[in-house]
Amino acid sequence: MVYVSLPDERQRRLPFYLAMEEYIARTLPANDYFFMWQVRPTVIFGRNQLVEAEVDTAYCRANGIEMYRRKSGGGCVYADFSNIMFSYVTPEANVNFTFNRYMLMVEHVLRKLGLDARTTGRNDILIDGKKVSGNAFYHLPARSIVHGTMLYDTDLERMARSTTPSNEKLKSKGVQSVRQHVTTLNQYLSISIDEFKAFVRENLCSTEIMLDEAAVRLIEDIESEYLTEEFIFGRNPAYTLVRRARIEGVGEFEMRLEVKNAVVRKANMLGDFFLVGDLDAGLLARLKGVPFEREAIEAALRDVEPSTIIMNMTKEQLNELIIKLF
Amino acid sequence: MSKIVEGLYYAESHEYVKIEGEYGYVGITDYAQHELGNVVYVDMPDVDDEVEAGADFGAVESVKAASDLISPVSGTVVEINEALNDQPELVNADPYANWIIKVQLSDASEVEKLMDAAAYKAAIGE
Repeated sequence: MVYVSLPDERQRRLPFYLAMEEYIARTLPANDYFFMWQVRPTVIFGRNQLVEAEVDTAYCRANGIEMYRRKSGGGCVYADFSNIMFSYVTPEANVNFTFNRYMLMVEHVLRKLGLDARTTGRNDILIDGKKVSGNAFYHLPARSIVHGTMLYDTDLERMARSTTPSNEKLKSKGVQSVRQHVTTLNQYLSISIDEFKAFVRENLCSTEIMLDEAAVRLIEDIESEYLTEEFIFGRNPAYTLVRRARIEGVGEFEMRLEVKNAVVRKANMLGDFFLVGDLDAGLLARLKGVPFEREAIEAALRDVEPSTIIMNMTKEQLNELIIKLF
Repeated sequence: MSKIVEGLYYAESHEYVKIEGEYGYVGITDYAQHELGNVVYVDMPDVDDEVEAGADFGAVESVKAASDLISPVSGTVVEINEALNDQPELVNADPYANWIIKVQLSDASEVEKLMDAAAYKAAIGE
């Protein structure tokens, strides 16, 4: 396997390394490539994950933790300088074969260090039954990328805080993370992080190529897509907000709004209230296509007189029911 | 052994297109769904988006991997398979009945560059 290195030691943002994988996959001749990298505290979520259902975005912003989306599948991950990220690029297209081969290679290296490492069916490597490495797969035409974490000595408190969502009301149609017990390699190893990396590299790679400045420029071009707000936050899968409430003298309500790309796609209202008008045309249809913002929703409902649709319901009660979804 | 349907056109990246008049229904082949394993999410474009032959238009995510979807044809997306939002596993159950996007073709001659069933069968070694 070929180790890929960079011409300088600069600290880079996480998407640079994802772009570097893509560059290797799309540009370099067919071969097996590998490299390791580390970044400032960063949360990275899977391709089809709803940010708000996976990440405490307020905590991340307050603590300077960066947030990015990747193109591979799977769950949400926290990275910092003590979580070594492994990247593997191969022309092999068969998902199961590639995954198994790569996981066994990494497991073998850990075992050589005397660690009781075991690969699980869920793309993880465990020590003592606790996770030290999670891996994800991105399949491009003609190339496969496998990348994963290797927890050396990460701040597990910050990891837990940043990847615990603050809004429990969200039900994502996207992919949910699987939360597991984790541990770090330094609990079991007496070598430094640099010695560990050198050992991994020696055992996996026999040759090296160093990318030049021109390649770095091309990688930065690919990186720019990952850095856009649209890619990070705009690609959220659809999600449904649910609110249940009891309104005295009117009935029980379950209000559901399906939101995609910050626009309401569908609205639904269930309950034991008494209908006196056309709920769909008179109310729910007005919410469809409206931006999911308080002012826009209020404006869409301004002309609705709820008591003509639901017996005894006042404007204030309707507003309260919907605004509490925010 | 993977199911291959006669009369469809196939791409090397394992998408098929079924032509009906000026429209093409694009999905992934049985071979591809089998390779990926249980599908958990299909990342689809929006209606009215343009797709281009050879360029990606979304992805299929399984329990193992996210795989780019490459469009075999160019044109405008006129419909997406909404059922896949709630039941992405339909792609595993019957990938040919559960197409992903319906495209209004901008260049019907593009399908000549794709494989027919026999050629695709040979390409996947069956």
